[in-house]
Amino acid sequence: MTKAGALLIIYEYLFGGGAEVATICSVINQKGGVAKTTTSLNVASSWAKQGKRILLIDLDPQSSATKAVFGDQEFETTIYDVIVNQAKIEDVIQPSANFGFDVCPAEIMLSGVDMQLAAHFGREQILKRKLEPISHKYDSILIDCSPSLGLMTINALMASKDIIIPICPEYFSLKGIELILNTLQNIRVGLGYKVSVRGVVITRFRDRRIVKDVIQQVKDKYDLHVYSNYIPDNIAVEEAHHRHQPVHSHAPRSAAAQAYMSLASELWV
Amino acid sequence: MTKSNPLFVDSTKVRGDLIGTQIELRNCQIFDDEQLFVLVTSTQGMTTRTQMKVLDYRSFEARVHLSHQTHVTFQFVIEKDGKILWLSAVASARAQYAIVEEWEPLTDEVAIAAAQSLINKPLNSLDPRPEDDGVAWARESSMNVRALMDKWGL
Repeated sequence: MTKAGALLIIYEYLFGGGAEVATICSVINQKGGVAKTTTSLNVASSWAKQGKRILLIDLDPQSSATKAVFGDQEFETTIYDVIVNQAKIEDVIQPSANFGFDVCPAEIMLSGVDMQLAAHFGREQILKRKLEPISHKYDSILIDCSPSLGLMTINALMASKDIIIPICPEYFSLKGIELILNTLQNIRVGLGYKVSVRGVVITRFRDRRIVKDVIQQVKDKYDLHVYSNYIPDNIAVEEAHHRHQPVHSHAPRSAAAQAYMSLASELWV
Repeated sequence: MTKSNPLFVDSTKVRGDLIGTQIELRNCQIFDDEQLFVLVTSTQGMTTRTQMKVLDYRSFEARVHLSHQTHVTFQFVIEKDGKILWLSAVASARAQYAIVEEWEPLTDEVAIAAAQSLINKPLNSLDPRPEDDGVAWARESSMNVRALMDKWGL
């Protein structure tokens, strides 16, 4: 071996060989119906269209993201098997030609995970450990979280560098933000891990005065970054779900498609 | 003590394991010749006095080692030339990875005098609490064993 080769091996050992790992981000809001899944799918798909390598992990027992991508197709192994049954995450990942990214599908069994893992050592960091071997294969890993606060949501947050909070601009969404910030604080205090907020995405936007007031309140009261590309309330989004396509493929000229493409660029860090 | 959600308890630690805890005090301002300390008293009555460093604008931090999930009390003190200028009320918490508090000074002179006597003690000094029955029994038993070993020449 040459001196240069030996030095390269030492450098790779010390500095990880320069292999970049994916940025892991959770899309979360403890309030339901704020377009978490829609935002996850369309942002991930827009990133994929821009040439990024993306993995979407569906961590919601309702499996909305899985169904939106694959319809009623059933999978022998899902993220549940990765978390509970020691399955390898590589064996669970499914590519989606329509959306252009890889998916870790979910199933209803995820709803019982809290009880199954109640006495498990290191139960709050299972997902983080399982993602380590594949994180260099992607530019970004997006986790679509369940609205309920349980062990899977804690796992998502413990695996994530930061979070994106989608909100419909209404009074209860502000309460949802308070719940999330409280959860992040509890994770910092109890589990010693700091998760930051990348920003707030406004979904189902309608040009009303009250809506603008709520957005201003998010900025002022919680000191959070609100992305400037608001996602309009648009039927094309729902139609795209029915056709198992991202909105930019189904209706590329729709206001929602254009907003999601612009938002994806704004969200990329 | 406040309720504790098991979702936010580190499952890799058992109660009593030593952990590093970040203590933060917000909305506090001190002058150049003043110092800010945090006094932390453990369940065993051991008090540590740690100087806090500037973290951010009007925020201070200190790192202490505590026994996981045990009950601790803590108090923030602003001193100048060894004398207490301001102090906060005694607060309590479960020992976890972070304690974040807002600065709320007391003006009670009795409390300041009590804290003054505490800071005059050497650091890490044990509070002379009476031994509980278990500790006394263990100490007595060990002395009996030593006496028997001495008697039998072991």
